[in-house]
Amino acid sequence: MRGSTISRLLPAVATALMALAIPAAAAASPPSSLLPPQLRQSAARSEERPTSRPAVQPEFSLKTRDGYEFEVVGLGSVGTAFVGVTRNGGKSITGYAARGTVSGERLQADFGKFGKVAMRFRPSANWTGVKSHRICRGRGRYVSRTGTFVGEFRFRGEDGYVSVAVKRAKGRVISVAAKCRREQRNGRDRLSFELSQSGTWGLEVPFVEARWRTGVSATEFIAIGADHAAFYGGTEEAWGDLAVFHSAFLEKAPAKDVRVGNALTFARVSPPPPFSGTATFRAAPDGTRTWTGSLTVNFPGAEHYPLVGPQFKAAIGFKPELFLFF
Amino acid sequence: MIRPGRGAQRALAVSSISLAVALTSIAVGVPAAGASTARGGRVAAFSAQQAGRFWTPARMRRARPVDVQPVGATGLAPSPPGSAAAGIPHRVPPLAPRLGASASSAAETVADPAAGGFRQNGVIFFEFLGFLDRCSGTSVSASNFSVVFTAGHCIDAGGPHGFGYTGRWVFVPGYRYGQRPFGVFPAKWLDTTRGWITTGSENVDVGAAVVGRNEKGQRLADAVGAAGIAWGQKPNQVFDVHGYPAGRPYNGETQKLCFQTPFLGHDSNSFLFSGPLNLAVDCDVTGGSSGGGWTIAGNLLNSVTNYGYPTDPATDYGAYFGKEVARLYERAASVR
Repeated sequence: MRGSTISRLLPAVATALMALAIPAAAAASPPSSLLPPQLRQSAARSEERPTSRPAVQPEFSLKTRDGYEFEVVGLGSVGTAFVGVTRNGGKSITGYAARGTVSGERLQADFGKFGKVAMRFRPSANWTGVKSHRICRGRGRYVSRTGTFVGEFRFRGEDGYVSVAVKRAKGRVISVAAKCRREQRNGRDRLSFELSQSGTWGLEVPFVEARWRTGVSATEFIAIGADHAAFYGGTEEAWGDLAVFHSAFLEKAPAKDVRVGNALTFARVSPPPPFSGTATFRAAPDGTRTWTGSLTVNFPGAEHYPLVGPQFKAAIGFKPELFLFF
Repeated sequence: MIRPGRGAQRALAVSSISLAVALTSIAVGVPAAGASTARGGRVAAFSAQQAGRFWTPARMRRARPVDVQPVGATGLAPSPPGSAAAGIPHRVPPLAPRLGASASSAAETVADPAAGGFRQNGVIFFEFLGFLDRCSGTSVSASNFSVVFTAGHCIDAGGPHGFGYTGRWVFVPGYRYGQRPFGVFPAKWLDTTRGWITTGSENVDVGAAVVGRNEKGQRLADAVGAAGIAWGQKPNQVFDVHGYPAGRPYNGETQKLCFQTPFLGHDSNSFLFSGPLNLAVDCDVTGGSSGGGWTIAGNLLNSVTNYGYPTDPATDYGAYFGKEVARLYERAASVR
């Protein structure tokens, strides 16, 4: 569970990362370059909204025989449950979100045609971890209780690409005191002020971005070139009372995989798996911009998802590294 | 991605304001002159005459969108006791003033914003840190005849570290090209949902004002009537979306309407924040329409414009009216 791809990508964990794991002094670098944009934004915003109640996050994970990994996470402060699916520790994830009941004792949500989670948490009888986190010092402020979730979790992805049904799963419930989140925020405020005064904005690196949004559906692709290239592809859409997110992130790819012309009229990207194909950006003197090619990305349950086409609005340029939070 | 509110890139601007306030506080140690940061409740007395003198046509035109957010003559059906607290589905009928289209997702110009059916909608103007800001709002039926509903971010920056926008806050119903056909109604009480102030979640980005009398001594609902209000309804409704968009291609000088635009779904980002899932509709309004009323069943307010995405200007997002909005309505309606 800890350190898995899903853990890094799921919003719940994103929130935890932002609120807990990132010391204030480290906020000058991207908080976690692995977080997809839509979730990073949420994480940052959640982090800015401390309440008087501790944040509670029940979570458990499972692996299927065919290599898929599930992580089920509840965001207690929001009342949303997430089911994240990835494969072989892969670079891409599909996440399903639904409103439900999330507490330190219970994780329950209906994912419609995909399944449901209805589990109660039974803490381990012989061990309850009470940690002192580096930015959350003080007895009882950061509590991680291990135990077993008991009840029902069944899930079947689109067209049955993955399926699981269990009645028990080992997991944990994390509880973080509100005070810790406030302390973290204060640290950020100070940092923002110092940066704005110093005028240090970081090295500029080339980027390529293409996105479309229509109604409650959106797709986004971002490539960054530097010593190493990094790529992100993601989608989000709402299906009734369910939201589905797809995200793929790849870092430390060869720099040659992102080529941006100095005149900012041309760019070509050819990212490695889970992406495939190439995409070309061209800007004509009359202002016309095109984003064409064969670029796709493989998400769990959504293979060969297209990342080019006339519906995309594309742009290229150079941005300070500091602002490459997507 | 940043979700700008329907008021000039709300998130960006609010961030700017936040930063400005933070910097000001750090550098000076006191709020800037004229900045009122009180949150929720009664605001400093500001007469309609004073408001009318301050909010000249020139100043109203200069105001920029905020952001970084019958029926019978007096026939008002009061809420059943406890209905708001319980959040049970409820509808408060509209009020007609005492004074004597086809479906479209494109915002169409209302020919005469002072005409019946439209005059209950108007522009909200306020001053913050010396800047002149604007939003949209709707007169809502209440026993005090003086309630305006708008977006929470047109009243308060939101979140635990936010602040109130209470400076020279006025409602100008039926506004058109600098004209104030029904006068100016200055706020005497402003508040938002509790969730907006405590969490800043856009799922509960709803605010309400109680306004004083206009220059002629009229109460708001007496002058222009009032929409009814409904909460606890199913999200899948067909809405009439009103507002005064001021961002391009609009100029904020007259009222726009997206007529009979159906519920599209929830914003997927809405799942990541507390509060009821929000609502999306096809409506290409822009900055300045924040707080504009979404009505159902003819004239029942059932949402207000909150935000849109720059990459999809054709979609408008508003908060679902649930328990929190019901409680806000009860608080506003009880102000005397």
